[in-house]
Amino acid sequence: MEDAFIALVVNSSVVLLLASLGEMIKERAGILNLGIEGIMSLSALSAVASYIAFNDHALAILVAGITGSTLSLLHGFFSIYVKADQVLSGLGVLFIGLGLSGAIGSAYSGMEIEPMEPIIWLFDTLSILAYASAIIFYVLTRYTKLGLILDGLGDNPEGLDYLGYDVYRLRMLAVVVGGFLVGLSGAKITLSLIPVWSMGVTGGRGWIALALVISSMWNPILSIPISHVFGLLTQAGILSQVFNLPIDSRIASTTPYISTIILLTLVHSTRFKRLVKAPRTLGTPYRRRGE
Amino acid sequence: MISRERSDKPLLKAENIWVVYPDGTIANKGVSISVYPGEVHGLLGENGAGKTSLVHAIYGVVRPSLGRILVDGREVRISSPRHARRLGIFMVPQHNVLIPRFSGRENILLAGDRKTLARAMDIISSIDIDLDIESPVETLERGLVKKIEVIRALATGARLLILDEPTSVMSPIEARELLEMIRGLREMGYSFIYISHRLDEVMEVCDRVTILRGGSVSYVGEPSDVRVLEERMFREVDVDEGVGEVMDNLNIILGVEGNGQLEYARDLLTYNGFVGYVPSYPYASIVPGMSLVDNVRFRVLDREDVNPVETAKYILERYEVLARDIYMDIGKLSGGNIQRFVVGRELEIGRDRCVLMFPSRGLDTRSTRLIWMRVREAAERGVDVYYFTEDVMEAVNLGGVVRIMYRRRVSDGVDSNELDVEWARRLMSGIGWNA
Amino acid sequence: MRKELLAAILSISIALSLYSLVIIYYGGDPIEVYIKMVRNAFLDLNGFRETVKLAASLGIISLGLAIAFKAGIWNIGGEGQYIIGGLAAAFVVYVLSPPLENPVIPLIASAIAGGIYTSIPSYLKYRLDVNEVLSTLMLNYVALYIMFYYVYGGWRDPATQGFPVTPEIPYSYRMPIIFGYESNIILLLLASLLVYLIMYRTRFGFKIKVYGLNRDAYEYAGYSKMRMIFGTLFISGLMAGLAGGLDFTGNFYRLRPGFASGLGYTAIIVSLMSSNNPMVIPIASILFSGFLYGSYTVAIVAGVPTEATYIMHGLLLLMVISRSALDKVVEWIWRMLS
Repeated sequence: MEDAFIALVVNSSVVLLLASLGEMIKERAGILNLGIEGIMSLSALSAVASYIAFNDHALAILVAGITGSTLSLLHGFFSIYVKADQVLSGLGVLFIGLGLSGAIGSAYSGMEIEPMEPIIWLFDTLSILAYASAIIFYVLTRYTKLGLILDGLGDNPEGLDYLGYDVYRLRMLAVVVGGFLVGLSGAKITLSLIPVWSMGVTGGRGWIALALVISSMWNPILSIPISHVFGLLTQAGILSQVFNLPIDSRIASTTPYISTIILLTLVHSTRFKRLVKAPRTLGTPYRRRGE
Repeated sequence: MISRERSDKPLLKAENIWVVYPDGTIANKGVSISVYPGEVHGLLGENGAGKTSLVHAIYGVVRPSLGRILVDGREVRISSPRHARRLGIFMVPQHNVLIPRFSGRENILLAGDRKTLARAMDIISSIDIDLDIESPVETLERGLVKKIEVIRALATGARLLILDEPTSVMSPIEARELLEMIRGLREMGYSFIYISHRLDEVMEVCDRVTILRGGSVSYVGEPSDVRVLEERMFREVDVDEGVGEVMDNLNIILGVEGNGQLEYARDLLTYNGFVGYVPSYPYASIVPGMSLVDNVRFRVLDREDVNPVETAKYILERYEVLARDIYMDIGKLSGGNIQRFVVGRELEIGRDRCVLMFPSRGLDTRSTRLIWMRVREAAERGVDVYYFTEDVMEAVNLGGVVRIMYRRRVSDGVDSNELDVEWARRLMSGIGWNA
Repeated sequence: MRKELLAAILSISIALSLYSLVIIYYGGDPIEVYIKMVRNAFLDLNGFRETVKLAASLGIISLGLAIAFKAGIWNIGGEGQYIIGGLAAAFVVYVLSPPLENPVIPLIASAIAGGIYTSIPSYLKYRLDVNEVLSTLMLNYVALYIMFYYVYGGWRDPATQGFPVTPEIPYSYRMPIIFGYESNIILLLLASLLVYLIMYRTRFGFKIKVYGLNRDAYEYAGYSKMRMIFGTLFISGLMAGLAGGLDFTGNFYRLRPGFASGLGYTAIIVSLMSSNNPMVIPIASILFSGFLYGSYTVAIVAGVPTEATYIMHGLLLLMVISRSALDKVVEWIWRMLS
């Protein structure tokens, strides 16, 4: 009983962690993607569809990751090359992701599949991948030139352009890599957390992940504890029933959403404001001189 | 001045460069320039004289339509900035190219690797300067930032460094330190093309100068006499008509930007009356996408006394704003026109007071003189004008009461026609203030 | 307005063409499907009635959103504000039961409730610069669960066993039916006129334009950031809430879990597609509603699931983005030629 509870929280947290890390890579490069929910949804569906077709979890994970990268590529194209307003391109990807997953998904609605088995204690492949990614992300960006380039993209892309780097291509790379992680978070939902597809299985987690990126101050290590807190909160509805709490389960279900607002409020209030430094050019398309 | 026994083979030689743009503008007409190893070569000229095009041709940004470039005696076709860099030609532009949140060290690593960093440290110790490369660049003063940019370029293989207005937005002390560093680097054998319109600096640090005027070379030689330089730079001999009487309500605040002007201006703006405000960069004060009329209208929505249509027409005429009509999208205007428009608008609607922050920055001489005239007219009408400038000569020519500002301290007022230029310059750099 | 209407129609045409690929994927014949959709939505008396009702609510939300979007304030919470509006109207009818039995009081309540529901996001944006996309969006989910709470709980109709719905409201509270049609559409036309006046004939409307084009210039001119943020969000919340009350008193006559059908999100697309123009929005709403209603009726026959309509949303949004891109490409070509 205890174990099942912890497993639930861990799995819920890993979804958020993967999505936050993926978005974090993009945001540190200066790209804001509001369409995570749509990408997550389509990736989740692709994982289910893949598993039903080929009965292989590893392949399903890969397919989900590629789906995430592909949809993010679309967003990246419009944001980087077309230089469209990133709010709009994000919403566009959101609807396409939701629409495609809704349309294709109706054929798979309700089909249960085998969830992934844990490898170490409660942690399955994706969970381990998630924690590893966070650490690798931190090490790479803190101690290697890769980190300088990534943050340079978000802070002053002109400076990188000046040194001869291809800003467009590098940002696109960040978007694709980040998108892969977002795809993995979708896989984590349908291959582990809720191993059956239905419209709305993502339940707003994509949006919560956006808030988590801000709250962890674009630091991958910080996103580990924060995603776990919210991993717990997103299960408030179910937990209130399981533990027979004296609160209506539906009202309890509002917890993660209200908490997200509270979290954003805290993070933006003056005391923390000084520590929270968003990437300078987040959301602003880059234009080479003379374009 | 050092003589050129060092070497008589130029590091860079550009011969008979013509740069013609697709729209027909001829930016350079047979310009030649040569720079020797260990030389600081000044490049002077007004806005539009062709300095930028020439330098872009040398740096591989544009292909010269005619002429040739020789590096180390060998003719090359410089195809791109990357190619130029491989040849050892680097450019440090006016705008910031460092990553603000990184330290100097990280910025150097970004441009190369550990070896690059080691080379940078070598150079720094060779010329014996103190350079903070550990703090984030955004916390450093402009002078330090420029120095880091220079060192980085040299550490990544520059032999000839093109400096575009390196001392803009820098206090006179910082400028002096930068020049000192350049002199030290020159001793080490590095070469510089020094683009500036600050004649005193050019006289101080350049071995030779090339002056461009209207696309061609009007002078090459040692910078011996300021008057000669000025004469060769401007089309007509610019004799100032005389100051005109000093006006009490024309307050001129003289100081390098960043010494508290913004705060002072903010105080001035909290005034119970109609206040005009021309910010340092006009883009925060206009709405691209709206017409010129609407760009007046949005300023006076809650006022009855200003007619946007008439005011817009008036501004176009009196401030020589080149536009089809008042219904044209302001975003389509050139920077100079926008600036004149904003100055005009604020002087007109600021019935009681008008605050102008460095309004003539980047403007050509004619526009600057026009603005001076209109500012004086406004003062005559009774508007309390507060004119912030960095240029001592501008302060002298405006004809008002000059106060010098340094680190939020403001000096006593001195009439323009009684202003001691050297004293003013020293105060601007922080020398001569009572404790 | 002509240009924007043309752009909207062009976008819809292109999107429909692309959407036909979806229909083909499900084995349907696009032309046949589209003809059937037009027939069901516009040529069938009952269908047309439903389409018009849908368009009324959709259009009203879109009009409200247009005001916020024009200011560059991204109110994604139309869905939640709509739900809250419905809840407020339901509250008036079920709980307060005022002696004056007509739809006016519930409608007013729904509008005000919708407006108030934006006050937290407004405050957070104004005071702390919290992104309004996230704050309004989170409140969508909150509103949804609150509605579930009441529909499954306190307001549940004991008579309908198994189906979680609230009781049908008495006829006196319902929107009047004129010439066989619900009068909802009149509200849409009034709202359209109102928003038009606000946008183009008031000082506030001009300020909205300025703020949307250049926030810095707006503040430079000394106008109140607070009034802009609170004002635009309140108006858009008000209209979304009104739409919710309108659907409660004029369309469904009750609450049920599916009350929130994504109308608030669809409205985002309609506004953007219409370039936030209050004269184009009603037309776009009717066209889009026709498409939506047509899709529902055709879904079973053509095998295209109703969720697929979200693809249409996405395509249309891409059209919106592409339009600005198209403009840029046109400008680029123009510059090369001159």
